[in-house]
Amino acid sequence: MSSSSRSPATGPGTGPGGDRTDDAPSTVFVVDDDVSFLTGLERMLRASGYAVMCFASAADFLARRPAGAAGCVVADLQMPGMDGMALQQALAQSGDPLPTVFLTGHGDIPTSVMAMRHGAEDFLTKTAPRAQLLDAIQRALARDARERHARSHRRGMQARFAALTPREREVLAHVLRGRLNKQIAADLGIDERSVKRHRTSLMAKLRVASVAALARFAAEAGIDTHDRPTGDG
Amino acid sequence: MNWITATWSMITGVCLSFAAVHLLVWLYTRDARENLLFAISAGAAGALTMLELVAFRAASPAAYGEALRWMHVAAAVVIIALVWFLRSYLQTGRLWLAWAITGLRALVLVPNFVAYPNATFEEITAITPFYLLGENVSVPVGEPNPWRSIVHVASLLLLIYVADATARAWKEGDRRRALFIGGAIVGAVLLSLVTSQLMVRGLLPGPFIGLVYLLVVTAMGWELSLNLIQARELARGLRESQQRVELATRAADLGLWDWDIERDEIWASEGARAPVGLNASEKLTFDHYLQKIWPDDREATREAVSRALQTGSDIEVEYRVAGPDGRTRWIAAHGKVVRGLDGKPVRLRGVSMDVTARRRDEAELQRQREALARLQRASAVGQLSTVLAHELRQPLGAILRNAEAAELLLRKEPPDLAELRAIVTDILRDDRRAATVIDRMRALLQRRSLQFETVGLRDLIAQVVGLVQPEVKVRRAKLEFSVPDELPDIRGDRVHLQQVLLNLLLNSLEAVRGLPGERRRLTIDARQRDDGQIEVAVRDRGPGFPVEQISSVFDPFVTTKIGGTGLGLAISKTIVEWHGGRIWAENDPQGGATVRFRVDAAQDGGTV
Repeated sequence: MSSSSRSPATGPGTGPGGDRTDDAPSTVFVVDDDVSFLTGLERMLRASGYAVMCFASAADFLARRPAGAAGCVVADLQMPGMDGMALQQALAQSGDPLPTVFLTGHGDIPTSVMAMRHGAEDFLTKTAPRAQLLDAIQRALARDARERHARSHRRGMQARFAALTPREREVLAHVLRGRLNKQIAADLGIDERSVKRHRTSLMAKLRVASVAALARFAAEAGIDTHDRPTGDG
Repeated sequence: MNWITATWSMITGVCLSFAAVHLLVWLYTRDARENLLFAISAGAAGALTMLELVAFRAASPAAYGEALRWMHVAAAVVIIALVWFLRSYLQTGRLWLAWAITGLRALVLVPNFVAYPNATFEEITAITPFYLLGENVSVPVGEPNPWRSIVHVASLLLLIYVADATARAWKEGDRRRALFIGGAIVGAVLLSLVTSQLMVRGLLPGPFIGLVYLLVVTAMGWELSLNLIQARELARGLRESQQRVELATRAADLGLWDWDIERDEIWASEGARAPVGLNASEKLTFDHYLQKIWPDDREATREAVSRALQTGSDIEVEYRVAGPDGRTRWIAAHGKVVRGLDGKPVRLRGVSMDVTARRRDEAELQRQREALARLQRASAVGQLSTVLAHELRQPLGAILRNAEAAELLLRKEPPDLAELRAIVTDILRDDRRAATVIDRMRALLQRRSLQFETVGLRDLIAQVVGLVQPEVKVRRAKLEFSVPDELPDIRGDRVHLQQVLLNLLLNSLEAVRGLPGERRRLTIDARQRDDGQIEVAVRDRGPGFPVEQISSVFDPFVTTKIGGTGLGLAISKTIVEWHGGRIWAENDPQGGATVRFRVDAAQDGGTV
């Protein structure tokens, strides 16, 4: 299923983080047990300029999908074995989620509501017009790019945070609580110069220039400083 | 004219009259054997009396001897005929005695003609005049012939034979006949023994056989008169009974008919003629009547009649005729074959009835049942509609995507023809796929009445399975079927039989809802039983029927399902019964339920 087609859906598919697929084109992964429909959809998507990979079952897709590949999933809701909903859940729980567009033979309202609630990008009948289907795929790809970027950004920040020494983390926690160097030195039982040195070092490691930027980083990277057990309770 | 001539002539007349009467009776009814025998006997008695008169007038011993010789012949005929008459009339008498008497009387005729002058006398030496009732008659004088003893033995045997037959008839309750006929013959034989002895001793001019025989004739006459009175009473009783029958048949709207096969004449009562538009005087033959029957039913009726005539069984047919008002009427006829003495059918008689109203009701009822079946079928197919719509969207979706792809490919220069060709091939295949789904549904939804044809069960089952399979898939169940290759065809209505299978499968599918995967298994098995019938079993591994309901699940509105109409099984039962089969439910000991139905294999036994 290699494709050299231009990927019109690929938005800002590259992020500042360390994802291996930063520059890879997005792929539409089609999962349907009906081989006839699978082939038809593959042809149409290819002719529309997408890179496509086809799978005849959810299990096959989960086993063979290229790790970390960007793109989206277009899946039949009713399939023998693992159905569309189960596939979506499995994807969501993996470390490498993909937005999903569901196709179904008939518009089953309760199922569609549940699918949407679980984060499905869209829910279409198999005979939905091409424009509608492509639109949904487009949105799914855009969302994937967005989420991928966010994920990679967060991962970058987490990597930087991981590079801090234990003492630097202690200092960081105190800084985020708005403590002055002197107070920090007293709390930690070290001299003020050492606090300053740690502060300079951690800001360099985290690539921030101000305390405000530091606070924003902590929020984005999801670093919780408030409940961190500290010496002074 | 004198008394002897007058009396003897009168006796002759009486005897011959009786002979003539009974001969006529025999001529009209050929099987009245006793009348013929009596006629012979009475005729011979008349001849005997005449010969006796000739003998009385004999002028010479030779003339007397000649007359007496011929009297022996007449006497033999009288006695032999009388012996067999008695057997026939009283329906009794020992056969060996009858033959012995016949043989002995015939034997007497040998010396009668060989010896001179006859079997009574060895020699007649003279004739003496004998004055009797104012006239001189000849009386023979001579040596008795020793052969006479045969006559005596025969007479003795006759006495024993008649007495025995009379006693038996008396014992069997036929007392009047025994008394009159038997008594008269016994008396006559005894009397003739006496008279012949007297004649031989010269005390009588002749054996006076005629006079003696008058006794038998009188008894017979008496019998006949009684028979006549009886016949009149019978006739009156018959008339009354006929009137009663007519009253009953009219009240019951029945027609009576009686076909004389040999003469090809049909007698038919008013009730049998009216519905066919025949007036009372019109002569009727079998073919004539057949022409009144609708061409569609004519051959079947003709066959039913010839089958009844061949096997002697009762006939029961229903056919349509054009009534007097030109409207079609249904007639039901029920008849019995009457056989003649030779065992050949001579008559076919029975009743007929106008059953138009019943037929109309039945037709209406059948129409309603079929309409109900059609509704239930639509509802059953409706249960599949969601899944079938999905099943239809697969090929339609594939067609749409392929067509869209083709449209995009065509914009390119040059277009990828190999790909386009592949797309067209796929579109055609998916179109057929969609058509199959529609056809299966349409086949079950079409509005049509019962049509019997030869049906291969394998195809039929495969079609229903094809229809239900998507639903089975959605419910994550398994459906398998097995039909042996050599299974004979059946005669049936394709659509209605599919309906039965569809109902059973939907029930089973419902029964396994919510059960663990290994129990969501349905199977259909078809096989031929040892008795030739075809049995189809639909089995599931569900909870089975509630035990208290298992015998009533085929009743209308009995349902074990929530939301079930309770009509599926009831209509399935009706349909199986239309096919002359039966259907029933069983719970399997290992769990699960099986519904089986049996129908006959097609007559020609052709295999799929």
